[in-house]
Amino acid sequence: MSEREVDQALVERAQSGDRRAFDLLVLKYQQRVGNLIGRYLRDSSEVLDVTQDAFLKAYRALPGFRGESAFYTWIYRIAINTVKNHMVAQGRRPPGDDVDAEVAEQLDVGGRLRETATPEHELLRDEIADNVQAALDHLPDELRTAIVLREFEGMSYEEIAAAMECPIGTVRSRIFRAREAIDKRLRPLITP
Amino acid sequence: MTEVSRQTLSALLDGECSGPEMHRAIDQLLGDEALRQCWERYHLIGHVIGRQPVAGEARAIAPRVRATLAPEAVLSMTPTRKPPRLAQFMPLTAAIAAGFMLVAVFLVPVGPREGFAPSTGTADSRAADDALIAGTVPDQRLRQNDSLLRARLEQLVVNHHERAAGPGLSGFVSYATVVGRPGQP
Repeated sequence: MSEREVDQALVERAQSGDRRAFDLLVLKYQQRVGNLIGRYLRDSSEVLDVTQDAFLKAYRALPGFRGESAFYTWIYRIAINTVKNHMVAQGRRPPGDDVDAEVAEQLDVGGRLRETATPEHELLRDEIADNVQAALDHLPDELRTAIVLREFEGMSYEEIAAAMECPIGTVRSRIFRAREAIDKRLRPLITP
Repeated sequence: MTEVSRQTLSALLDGECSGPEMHRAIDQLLGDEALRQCWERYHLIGHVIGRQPVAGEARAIAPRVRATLAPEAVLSMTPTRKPPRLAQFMPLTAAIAAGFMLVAVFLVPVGPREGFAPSTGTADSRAADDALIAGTVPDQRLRQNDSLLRARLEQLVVNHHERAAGPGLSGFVSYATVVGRPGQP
């Protein structure tokens, strides 16, 4: 079982007409796709427009998605094509050097998005980062280690269990408790 | 939204749910607005811990996509499949087959053939063969001197080529049906 399989299950729900499943995919990938498009465009409102457009194109193209590639790889290609077409339509020359989906995630691709963010958004971004970091710092060691190995190192539960010398069920529980503790600080900030 | 459902959501997020558990978790997630918000926040936490850039304004994307899609009718989401590669060439294949049929119609020799082996069948069939060899029975397939037949065949081929250019096998099928009809001149 992997994240890709979860994505594929959501895609299949969306293909069978459940729009909420597509909404979950947008919620999952909006940051990454927004950051990716932020590499090409300077204006943050333009980034939002083009990112939205990319997701709409993906939704309309969803019947043709057969799961031969990961959903993120597919939406990545759509996003790149959308932003390049947008730039051409605006009379701007798109850069010729594409970045692979995997590489793009490792780069500080949100830089341009940050440069033109509104003060409110900058404040929110800083508050999110500060609160998550503060919550992480206050976690008991075993919870912090489990969540960092998962989110920063990208390890599976099995690998974390081996590294921490505990059962997989314990890893699952520790990661959940870590998320709950961090979420407790995050929720008031971003819940409308 | 119970603690159990949030724990399952946490495992789902990491791709650590088994098949039936994954589908149950997705069902719960789709039907619970609080869990959906939790899904977004858990991902946001992952971005921050994973040192991926987080943009506050990017959170506006999902509501905007939702709002844009809301008035639209649900798309017909039956996954489309391309026709098999062979099927794409069917009109061409049909045209070639028709060409071979036409050549065969005109080139099969008439009357007694060299090296013709007598049939080993019944007395009736042997008599029929003898009659064919003697030329007393007209060959239904070949009337090369029949100008009406030639004109008709040429018209059929023209029709076939016109139809075969379109998708499917309609051209060839129509052609084969007419040509193959017994008793047709």
